Order: sequence, then C-alpha cells, then structure tokens
Amino acid sequence: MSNLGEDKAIDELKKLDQKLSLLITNSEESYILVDNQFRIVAFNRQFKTQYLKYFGTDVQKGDSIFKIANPDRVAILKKIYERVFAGKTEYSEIEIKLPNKDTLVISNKYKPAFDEGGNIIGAFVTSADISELRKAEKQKRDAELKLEFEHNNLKALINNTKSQIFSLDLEFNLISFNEAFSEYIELNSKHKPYVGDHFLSFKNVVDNAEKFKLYLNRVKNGECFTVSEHLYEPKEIWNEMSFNPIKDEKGMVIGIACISTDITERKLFERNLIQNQNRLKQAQEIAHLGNWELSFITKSSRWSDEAYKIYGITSYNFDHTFDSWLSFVHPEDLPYVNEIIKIGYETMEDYSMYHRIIRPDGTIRYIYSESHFEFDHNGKPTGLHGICQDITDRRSNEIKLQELLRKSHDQNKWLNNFTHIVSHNIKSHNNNIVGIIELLETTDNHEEFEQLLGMLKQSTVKLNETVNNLADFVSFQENTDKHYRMVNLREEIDKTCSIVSQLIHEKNAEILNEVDSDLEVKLIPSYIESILLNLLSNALKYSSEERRSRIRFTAEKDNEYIKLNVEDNGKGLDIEKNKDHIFGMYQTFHGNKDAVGFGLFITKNHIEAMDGKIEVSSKNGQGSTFTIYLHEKA
Amino acid sequence: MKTINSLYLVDDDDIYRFLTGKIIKESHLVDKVWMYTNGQEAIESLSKSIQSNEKLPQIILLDLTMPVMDGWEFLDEFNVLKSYTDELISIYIVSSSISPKDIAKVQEYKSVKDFVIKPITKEKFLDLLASFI
Repeated sequence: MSNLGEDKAIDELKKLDQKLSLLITNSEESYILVDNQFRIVAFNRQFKTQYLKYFGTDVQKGDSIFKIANPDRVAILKKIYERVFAGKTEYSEIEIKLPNKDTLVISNKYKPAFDEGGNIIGAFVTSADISELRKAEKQKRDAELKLEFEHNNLKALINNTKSQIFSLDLEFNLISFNEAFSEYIELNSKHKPYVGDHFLSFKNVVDNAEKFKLYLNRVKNGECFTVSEHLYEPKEIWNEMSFNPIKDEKGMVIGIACISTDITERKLFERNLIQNQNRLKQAQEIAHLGNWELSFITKSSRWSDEAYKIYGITSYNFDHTFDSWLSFVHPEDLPYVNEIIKIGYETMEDYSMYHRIIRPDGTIRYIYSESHFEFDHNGKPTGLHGICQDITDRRSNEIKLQELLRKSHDQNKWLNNFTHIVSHNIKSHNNNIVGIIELLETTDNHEEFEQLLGMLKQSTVKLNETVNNLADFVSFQENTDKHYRMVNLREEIDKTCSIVSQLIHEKNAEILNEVDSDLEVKLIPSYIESILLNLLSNALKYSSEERRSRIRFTAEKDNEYIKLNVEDNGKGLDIEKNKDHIFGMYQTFHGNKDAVGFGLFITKNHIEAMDGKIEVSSKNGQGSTFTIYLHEKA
Repeated sequence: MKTINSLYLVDDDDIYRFLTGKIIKESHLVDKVWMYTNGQEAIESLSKSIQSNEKLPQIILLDLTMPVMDGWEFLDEFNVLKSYTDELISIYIVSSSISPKDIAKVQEYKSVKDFVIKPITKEKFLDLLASFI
C-alpha cells in the first residue's frame, strides 16, 4: 500500500512539477539558474525569447552570465552574485540601451539556489521587464512636475500682481487669497487675514458692509460684474472690483471670486485730464478764444465749445464745412477774407486776419483768427488748425479809449485856448487901467480928468466882469457832480421868459412856447436854466430892427436825444464865416457894446456836461435857430 | 522933422484906442490918426481911399480879436486890396495875445511888419516909428 501510495505521491509530484515547469516556461518573467561558475545552466522560454529579441543571438546553456552584461557592470554583477552565493537575496535594476534606442528597464531578483542537501549551488535569477511600468511612472511624475510648475507659476503670478485676488464661499468666508490681498487687509486692519475669516468683518469692508453684501448676493445669483469704488482710507484711492461666481461642473454657484485692482493712478490721470480740459475751456471762455481744426482728408472740421459760442451756434445746427463757416463772414469783409485765405492756400504759409461775422441772431462780432497748416511726413498738407478770438469788447474798449483820448486832447487844446483868452482879456483891461492911471497922474485938465476917471471905472468893471466870468466858469468846471432831476421843459421855458420879461416887454417880442406840456427830461436844473436864459437873451438882444421879434420854442424826439429848437427872426449870423468860433470864448459878432462873448461858450459847455450837443443854423439878416440835443438819461 | 502923414488904429477896445491915440498925438510924429472899431470899417475906408485916389495910411496898427471882422480876416482882405495901389503900407499887429500859435501865424503875412505886444507905450511907439523917420 505504501509503495502504491508512494508512487501515487511521486506521480502527483511529477504532475505538479510538470505544471510548475509549464508555469515557469510560460511565465511573463524570465527565470535563469546560474551556477557558482557564473554560467547559465537553465532558463525558461521567456528568457530565451527576450534574449533573442534584445541581443539578436540565441542563448546557450553554459554561456557566461557576463556575456550579455554591460562591461561596466561586470564587477558590480560579480559582487551581487558572490553575495547571493553567500546566501543573500539581492535585487538590481538595470537599464539596457537597445540598438533601436529604446531603453529597457529590467528588474532582477537574485536568490541562492540550493541542492537537496541544502548546499548553495548557484543563483536563481528572476527578471521582469518593467520598462512600461517605469515609463508610466515617469510620465506620471512628469505630469505631476508640470502640474506643480504650473501651480507655482500661477501662484507666483497671483502673488506678484498688485491686484488683490480672493475667493469666498457662499457664507462669504475667505477660501483663498493672494499676497496683495493679505497685505491690503493687514495694512488697514493691522492683522493678517486667515482662511475662514468672514469677508464683511474686515475693517475696510465693514463701513460699506451693506453695499458689499449687495454685491456678493448678486454674484451668488450668478452675476458677473465690475464696479469702481472711490474710497478714502486715509488717502484717496479708487478700486476697480470685478466679481465672478465660481461654479461646479453642474453650473451651481459654489463660491465667489473677486479681483480688486487699484486704479487710482488711472483715475487721477483721468481727473487731471478732465480738469485740464475744463481749465482750457474756462480759459477759452475768459479770453473769448475758440479753437478749431479742419481736415483736408475728411473735409470736415472740429470746433471747441467756445468757438461755437463766438459764432452763436451749436454743434448740432452747424454742418462744419468750410462754406458754412464762410457764410458767417460779414459780406463787406468777404473779399478780404477770401483774399487772405487764397494767399494762405497758395503759399501754404500760416495766416491771420481780422474780420466781422454775423451771428444767426443778426449781431455783429469782431473776430481775430489765426490759421496754421499741418503737413504729413511727405510735406503734404493734411489740414489746418487755428484759433478764433472774439475781440468785439476789446475793440469797443479801444474805440472808447480813442474817444477818451480825443476828448482829453480836445480838452487840452481847449484849456490852452482858455488860458490864452483869459490872459488876453485880463491883460487888456489891466493895460488900460495902467495907461489911464499914468494919464491921470499927469493931466491938469479937469475935463480930461473926469473923462479918464470914467474910463477907469469902465475898465475896472470890465476886469471885474472877466474875473467873475472866470470864477463862474472854474466853479462850473469843478462842479461835475451836479444832480440830475426830471425837468419839465415847457415850464422851464416859461420860467426863463418871466425872468427876462422886462427885456421881452422892451423889445415887444412874441414868445411861442410850443413844447409839449408833459415832456420831461432828466437834466441838471441849474444848467438848463442857464442855457435857456442865454439863448433867450441872445435872441432878444440881437433882434432885428426891421420887424417884430418872434422867438419860437419847439421840441421833438431824435433817437436818444430830445431836440429843443430855439428859433428867432433876428439879425442872424454868417455861419460860414463864424462856424469855428460861434461857441468860442469872448467871441462877439455884431460889434454890440453889451456883447461879452461868454454866453454861447458857457452854454455849449453846460450842454456838453450833460452829454448833449448844440447846433446852429442861421441866415444873416433873417434869423437863427439854435438846436440843443438833450441826452435822455436812463 | 519928418512926420507920418496918416495912421490907422484898428481895435474894438474904446479905452485902448483912446490911450494909444493920446500917445500917438503926444509924439507929434503923426499928422492924422484914423480910428476903427473892427476890420470891416478899416477895409471899407481903405477901399474908399483907393477908389478916390486919396492918400493911404503909411502905418496900420491892427488888433487881432475883434467882432464883425477880426485881424486875420482884415489881413486876407488887405492882400486883395493891396494889388490896387502902389503905396507902401506897413501893418503892425498889436495884441495882448502871447499865443505862440498867433505869433507863428503872423509870419505868414508878408504885409505884416512886426508883432507888438500890448500895451503900446511912448517908448515902443517911438521905436516903431524909428524906421520911418
């Protein structure tokens, strides 16, 4: 039984051995047995296949293990085997460069091989091709490295930007943030932010918590938007905050991402720009100076606001063409303007001109304009730009100044004449007095003495009169601040007539006061009294001996003046002969002994002091008409 | 002693005429003094004398500022009359004017011999006559 059992066992063992051998033979791993003389004594089919595949030759039993080894590795390999022969298990991994440039990675396991007696007879080497594994590992590692590199890059990018980047969960707790954000929070809150901090609790946010809550809720609802925040903390800054929802793969909002950029510099620049534009605009307004540019390429022009204002138009009702501009130019100035422009375009030299324009509302303005040509790099003219300035006010000031200059020149001339005339008159009387006194001293004729005394008296009276006139006149000149009052002209004339009623009666003169009873003019009462008295006295004094004296007063309106005519039928004057000195000082025309030559002079001065003027028309022997223009004061 | 036959005194100032006339008479160097109160009267007298071939004045003392016809107008009229006679008439402007403008204007009239500033004293009158006598 035992033999049968033993046989059966051996049989079983043999079957097992066969299966094992089959397993070994068909294994993916290579198996070889090396004896202690480093010779290959057994190998499986995989080894044989691999050997052939990699080295191009068949392996033979008894070949040295070093035959296929890299010469550099022989020593190392020998040491490994020696350690295995001494009973140790060794591992090695070798890379074999194949002729096709592929690298083969072989993992080897060296184990001592025992005989039945337990003696080490060699080494059992199991080899596996782990090239694919290694390759996969390397790929994985490379991918990881790449990922890490990218992550680091991104991190560096996020941390190096000045923009603050952070993300929040839906409860508005901080999930992540970059360094800029951390610095910003730390600067304002004196402590660093930590993941999990509530965003609305940060000091910089707390003041505007309601507003930020609104923003964050909008992002929670999936909205993407950018806002500009103007803050003072403590210095003025602007932040541009861009909010984005973070979504999962299903599109659900799971968080909030925000980038906040300091745009203070840009904003300040923008503000400066706007300020400068405003200043330019203001400067243009103050100077009544506009600027414009005309492109030869687009044929259209651009005007500044002030330029429109000067022309009394807006950009909407102006088509910006050259012809439209030309239509504003005053027709009288058009030939001149066209000529200047023509020369400008012919010579391509900058030009300037003074001309008038007529605004759409009909007002005329005086313009100074300057034009400069623009050229491209080939020297071809591309456009024209320039300024236009409204010089109307300046011009009217210049005219006023000229008027003032003329007045003061006239006054100077007048004053010069005045001193000469006055000195002439005073001297004349003085000379006479001295002469008379000399004669008085030498005469012993009583009759002559009496005659000289009479002359002396006459001269003294005349001198006195001259001095009084002078004093009157000086006080009139000094007293420029007389008060204006509404004066009824008709009543004033009646009053004057009653003053000289004696003379009127003597002359049997007829006075016709045809002035409207309700005509009132704002005048200096004492002046108008003096004027009327002078004119009436003159008319009576120089009445004709040939007819009854008739003096007629009429008044009419003439623009800003009230014209008062005093018409007489007296002796009249030779206007042509006397026009230069009718109103001069000490001018007499009729050889009349009563004539002092002061009346019309002072009358003219009184009228001019009230911004009026006086004219006279007369025919010798037929009468005179004095016309006074009384300026109507507002 | 040689004397002046005839002299015109043209001035609107009565007292001046009286005083000057007295000085002229007392010099006993002028036979006849004619007095006029303005240029018009003097011109009329002159033209009458020319027409009737009477003796013309050798000297005219002429004021500038006068009514009706002043000294300037007289000078203009005189320039016209002058061509009708061969007689030599010396005109002296006698004025209290010290206006440089007037003095300059006088230079334009060739018939004006000199500009005398008022008053005319005995000495001034004798100086004036010195060239005639």
